[in-house]
Amino acid sequence: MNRYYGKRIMAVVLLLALLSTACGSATGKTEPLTTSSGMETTKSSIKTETTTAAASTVANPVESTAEKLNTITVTDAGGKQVTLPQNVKSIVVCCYGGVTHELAALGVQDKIVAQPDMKKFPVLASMYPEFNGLPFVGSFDDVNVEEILKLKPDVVINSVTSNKGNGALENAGITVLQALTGKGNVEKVKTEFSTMGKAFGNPEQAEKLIGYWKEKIDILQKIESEITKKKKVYYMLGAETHTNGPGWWGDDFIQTAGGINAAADLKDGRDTSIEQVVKWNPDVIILSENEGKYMAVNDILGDSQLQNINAIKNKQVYEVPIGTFWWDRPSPESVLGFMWLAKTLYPEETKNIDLKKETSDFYKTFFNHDLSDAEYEAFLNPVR
Amino acid sequence: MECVDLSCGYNKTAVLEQINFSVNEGEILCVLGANGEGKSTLFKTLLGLIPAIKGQIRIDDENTLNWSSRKLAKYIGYIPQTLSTSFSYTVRDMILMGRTAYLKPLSNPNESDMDIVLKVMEEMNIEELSDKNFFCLSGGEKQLVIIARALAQEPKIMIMDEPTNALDFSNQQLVLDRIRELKRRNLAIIMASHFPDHAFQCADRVMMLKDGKIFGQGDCSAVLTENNLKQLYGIDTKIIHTGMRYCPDGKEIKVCVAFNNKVG
Amino acid sequence: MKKNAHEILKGDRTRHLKIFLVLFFSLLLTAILSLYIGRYRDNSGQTLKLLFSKLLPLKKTWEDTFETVIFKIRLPRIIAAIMVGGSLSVAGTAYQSVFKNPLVSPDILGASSGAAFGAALSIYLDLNATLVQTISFCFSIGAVFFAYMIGKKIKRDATLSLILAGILVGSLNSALVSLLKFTADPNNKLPAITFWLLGSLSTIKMGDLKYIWIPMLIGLVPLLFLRWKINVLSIGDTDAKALGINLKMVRAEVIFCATLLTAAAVSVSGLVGWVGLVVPNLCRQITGSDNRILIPSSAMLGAIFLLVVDNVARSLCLLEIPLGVLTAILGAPFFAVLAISRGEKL
Repeated sequence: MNRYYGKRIMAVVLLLALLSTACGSATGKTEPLTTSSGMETTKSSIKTETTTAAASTVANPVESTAEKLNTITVTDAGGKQVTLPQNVKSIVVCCYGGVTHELAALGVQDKIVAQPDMKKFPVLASMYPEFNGLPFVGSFDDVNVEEILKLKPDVVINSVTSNKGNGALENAGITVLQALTGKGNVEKVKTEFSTMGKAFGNPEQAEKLIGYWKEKIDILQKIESEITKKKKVYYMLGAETHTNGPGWWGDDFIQTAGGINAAADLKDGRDTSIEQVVKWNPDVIILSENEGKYMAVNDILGDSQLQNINAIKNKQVYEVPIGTFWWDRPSPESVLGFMWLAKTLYPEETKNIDLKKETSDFYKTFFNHDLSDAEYEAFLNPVR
Repeated sequence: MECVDLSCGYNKTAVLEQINFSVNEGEILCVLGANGEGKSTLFKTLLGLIPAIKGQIRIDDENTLNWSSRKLAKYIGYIPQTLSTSFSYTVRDMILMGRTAYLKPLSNPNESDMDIVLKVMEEMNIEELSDKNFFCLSGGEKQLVIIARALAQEPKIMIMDEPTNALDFSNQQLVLDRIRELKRRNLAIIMASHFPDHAFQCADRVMMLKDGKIFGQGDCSAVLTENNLKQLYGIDTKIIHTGMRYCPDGKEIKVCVAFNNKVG
Repeated sequence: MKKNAHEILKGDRTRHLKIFLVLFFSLLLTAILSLYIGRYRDNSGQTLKLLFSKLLPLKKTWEDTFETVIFKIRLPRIIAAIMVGGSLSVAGTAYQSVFKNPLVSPDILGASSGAAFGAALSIYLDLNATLVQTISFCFSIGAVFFAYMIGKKIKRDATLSLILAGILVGSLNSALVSLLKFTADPNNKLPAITFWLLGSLSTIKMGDLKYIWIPMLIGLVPLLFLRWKINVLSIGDTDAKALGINLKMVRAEVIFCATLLTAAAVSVSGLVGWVGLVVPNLCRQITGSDNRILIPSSAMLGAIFLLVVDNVARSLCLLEIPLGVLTAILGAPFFAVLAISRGEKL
């Protein structure tokens, strides 16, 4: 009896070992099951990779003193000083909160050698077909360090919140540039455009983008200064009780467009209760599915718990448009979102803004893309 | 109750074989045997808790093979060897549980059930314990309550598995006295014990188990001899007639003394 | 003073009734007071009037919004808390008797972890809220069913086999939930799954409760009829069988009903632990172990307990505290105190 069990156990162990080597040899296109510590691959490959990394870090100090004149230093979103080669040739993107969009708007998207699947952004994917087929090497804290080492990128862009992942990358001798994800405001985003432009050799385009933002936001502020009764806006993000308090992008989104954030007294938080929403009694509700579930306008209008709110009574419930990115989240085209919201809140006062033209101009200037009427309509009414 | 050619054990492995015996109303049969000889196994089989491997158990001349637990409970009252309960009920409620077999499927005990419980408590002389928590009783009192519970089942047969096992000297006697009194109720009682003394005290007939078979069976005075006891337990014994008698039945008090080195 | 059977039974029944009524009215009072709790400030005195307006023709002196808050936001939540708290307590009581152990909770056969897996899977697949509830209910029942079937095959003491099987099934389901969490999209699905797992009544609408009372009722009623048999079951398998209980049948019935209650409760509220463990033990201190009074009292006490905890959850701070977290924070020390102070009677 004991021997029989012993044999069975051995068979199972062998099977598991075989499976793990099969996983380890799969290409980087598949979702990595390994954490940054790379558990599943065989011991021998770990050894060789670390020795290569060790060799390169030993070699680098000698080279960098000679190359010192050919490097630039920028401050990233985490406040760190990052040294990059003057002519960055390869970038690995490890977050999908809009970094790719930034690189595209700045015209440097051809330097991307690996990034998460852009199918999540169908408009972007169709405008930049070269993104199809780029390998995915992990994101945030779940990065596949060995795959990245294989690609030998000049820099990896990852989220400012991914301490573990970034630590592991730097430990392997890889340069990490942190990008803003999550909390952000208009000023910080403009700074990031500037940083990216400087880092990747196209500071002129960055200045152009920042200038465009400034111009449009000034127009909005002028209009807003003449409005006496501002509208109270509740930002419904993926769930009825999930919103953005002050300090989060949604707050900036609403205020830049000239509205008042209904959740203004939420301090640093993002979650509230239904009763509180009823108490705030917003004039307008905007829906976004960037985090959480999709909620249709009709679902919200029909919600019996909200029926007494002004926004429901006056049928002022709107879904935020989605271009290459959600117009209510930080990205190069957020400025279009500000204009959209301003027009939604104050249609009379903003009647001189031609949103279609603005969008079309933006896409031509920054994405080098001729926007068709059908595409524009699709932004405002995304197909689900 | 009658056992015909019974074999009992676990997982089709017989612990006891060719068990033939019978017990009648008003009789106490004491089952003696060393540890591990299968007394508990025999009892569990009689109660239907484990299936018999071979043979028949008959009550009132009817084979009990297919009897439900409910039916068996109306005929046999069981006093188990160990009592382990996590939850405590009042003494009255414990005894009331004996009436479970008589309850209609979805109902709770009613007045007539309670009447029987009160009568039984009176008989066993434990009325003053009525409202007490079972957990708080002494070993002897607990045993009396369990006997009362079995009596509440209004059984014809009582099966007691070493009823004085965990009791001290005086409590042992208390319980044995009660058992003797139960004869008056015309019950057939099968009792297992480690001590031949108890057989002397209570039993009419004795059955001895050794090596998985019946070693000896019959009247107390006939079967309980020094020779038999020595063969059964593997130890020298001497039976002493004390000259005293029990009342009210007038039975002579005999005791059994075991010794390894005879002194004289 | 000698009492006769009639007097004793009547005395018992009176005592039981007294306890039950005290608990019932406490529950009613707590429920009404709970209507006053909430962030929307009430024009004092109107709440009761509003309630009665549903029965009597009263002149309307309140705002529409207030009526919505009371009937559409607070009332469903209160009813849900009562139903979930009551169900979990009764289930816990029943399970404790079947397993003859006061340290047993309704999770022992894997009902909660089965529900968790069902819910996590549904959220992962982007299904709507009603489906999440239904599927978590079904998976919960399924998990216990598997545990029961596996338990039957294990050739050991029946109680022990069931517990072992429950641990097996529970661990498997928990592992699967972890796997789903690991692969879920950290922006949308993962927070939703985590939120469900922590337990909450914050999103309850009347519609969620439309059907869930049916399995709760189907679970509760047979248990009420089986109260005496559960008493006998709790003193030991051998004793119970010798006293005439059909062990297999009764055990299966009780487990089935208790599982229905647990599955229904967890599918509404998410994972809310400790209620099914603490409340029956607390109740036993008040009523004793007799299930004839223990089961109805557990239901009342459990409802009160969860109602109070939910009130705290939604009013203590700006951000709602998940219900499961609060029941653990309050329940565990409470249980420790209970165990220490009344150890021998536990």
